[in-house]
Amino acid sequence: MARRKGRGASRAAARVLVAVQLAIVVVTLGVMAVWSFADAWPWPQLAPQAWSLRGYAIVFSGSSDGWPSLALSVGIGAASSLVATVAGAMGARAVCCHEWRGKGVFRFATMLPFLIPGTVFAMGVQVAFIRMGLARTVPGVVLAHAIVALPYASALMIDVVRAQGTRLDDAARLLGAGRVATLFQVTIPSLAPGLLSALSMGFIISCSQYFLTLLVGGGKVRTFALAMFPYVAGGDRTIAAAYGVIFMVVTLAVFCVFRLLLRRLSWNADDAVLYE
Amino acid sequence: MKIELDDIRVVRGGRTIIDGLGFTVPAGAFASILGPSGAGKSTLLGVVAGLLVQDGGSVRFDGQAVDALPAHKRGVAMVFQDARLFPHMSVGDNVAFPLKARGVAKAARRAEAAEWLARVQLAGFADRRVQELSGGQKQRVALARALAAHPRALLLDEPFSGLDEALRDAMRQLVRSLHEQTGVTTLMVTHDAMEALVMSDTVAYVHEGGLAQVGAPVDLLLHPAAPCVAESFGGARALEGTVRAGAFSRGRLQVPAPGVADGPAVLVRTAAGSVAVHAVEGGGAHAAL
Repeated sequence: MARRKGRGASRAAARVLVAVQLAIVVVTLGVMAVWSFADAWPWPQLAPQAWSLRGYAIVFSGSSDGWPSLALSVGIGAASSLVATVAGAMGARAVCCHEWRGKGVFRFATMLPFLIPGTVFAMGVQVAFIRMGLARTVPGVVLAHAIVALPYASALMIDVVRAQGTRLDDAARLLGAGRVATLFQVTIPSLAPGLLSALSMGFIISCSQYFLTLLVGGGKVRTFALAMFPYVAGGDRTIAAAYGVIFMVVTLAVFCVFRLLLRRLSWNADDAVLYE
Repeated sequence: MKIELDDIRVVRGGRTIIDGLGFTVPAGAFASILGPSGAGKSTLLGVVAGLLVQDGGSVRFDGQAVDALPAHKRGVAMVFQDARLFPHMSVGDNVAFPLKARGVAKAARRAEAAEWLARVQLAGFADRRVQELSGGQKQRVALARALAAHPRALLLDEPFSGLDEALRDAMRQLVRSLHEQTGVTTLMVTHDAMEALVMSDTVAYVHEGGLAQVGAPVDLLLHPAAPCVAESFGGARALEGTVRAGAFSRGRLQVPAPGVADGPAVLVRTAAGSVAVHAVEGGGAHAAL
């Protein structure tokens, strides 16, 4: 009896924790969604006093850079996640399938951006990119975002590549497939679930970069996060919330597309590291 | 195709895995590399396939050294212990893969893949997903895929060890009958001595990276050249077979059994190492060898 009671109590505790966690996410996002349609919401009112579409109108009006910055964010996110995923996958193959000197140092180096504080990292990148002429350019921002996403892509790809090794590549080569055919017909498709996970992770990371984009882009590369910031800082919550909701919808949409693709490739659910 | 291994040496991480090993597989033969785990059997198969580069010695196919040839140009196909089917392809596409690599047109390779699937008793499986297959079916698809490559030699790396005993026997018979139909030179790695005995024309016993004995199965069974060879046949294992005209046979294994009546018989090996054939019926007539 006592044992059952204990189990009931721990289950109740778990439910409470889950409810609190859900509430934190749902309430925060919910308040933002409500704010994006609110015209006036003075303290201490529980509900907004007046509603309007002013926020969305301003984001998509010609006077603000809502559309161009959204397109730029999506473009930079796509490009930087691609760079990070390709580099991460190649690095993972090198680490898991080959023996070479300095392998340990290489692995540590790929994880470094994890460990270094973001601001310190951004300053270093900025200094280096100014010298290379990459500062204040879109390719520079793409590269900087890719470096931030690289440790995540590496970690994901190392897991997937380690599980698979060169088993399938060896099999393909012994069936007469050359290196190129093996790469495109066997290696890449068989790693596709991991590659998709790394791509979507990279995209989300790129979208959420503010400080790094500001420093490396020098204010000239105006992504959605940059376009949104003045409204957050300036206190116009309606416009800021409208930006926030759109941003959320776009990243969620991209996430859903990746998830759908992954479902289609669900030959091995274990490979879908991020979602399953 | 005749496979010759000449003084092969493999060193990995400062440890000598294979030390000056050599033997010949005659063209069209079914040969086995037998030995305990860790003896270097699979390494040796990797060297033949071109997946591993040896540190010394030479591999020759029909007298031609192939040491400089990469794996995909050696014309050998391999069936691995863990099938290694491509997870993103259907069963039919897996079998058609080697044909695609050789540039065979789509319709032709589909037709040929279907044919090979029928030959491994999986007719109509072409559109199935690989994930739907059982372990035994996967291994049969892997076999069909390897044969569809029209290899000059077929390499089998412990192809039955992942299967349960009932399936294993069926697979052994299938592999043997396909070998007889296609005549392709086959080299199989196994740690199961009885499997090597009943399937092979030639058995090479590998021990600690060296060759302990090479010869016909009956020679290894009756005249083991080293204690390790004798021990590999186990304490006392019985092998069911038939006696005809004074010879016991099971699969490819032929053992003389003078004085034993024709009919079902059992070959028994005692702990002491002596071998005897007993008739199952007819008053227990037996021949000690």
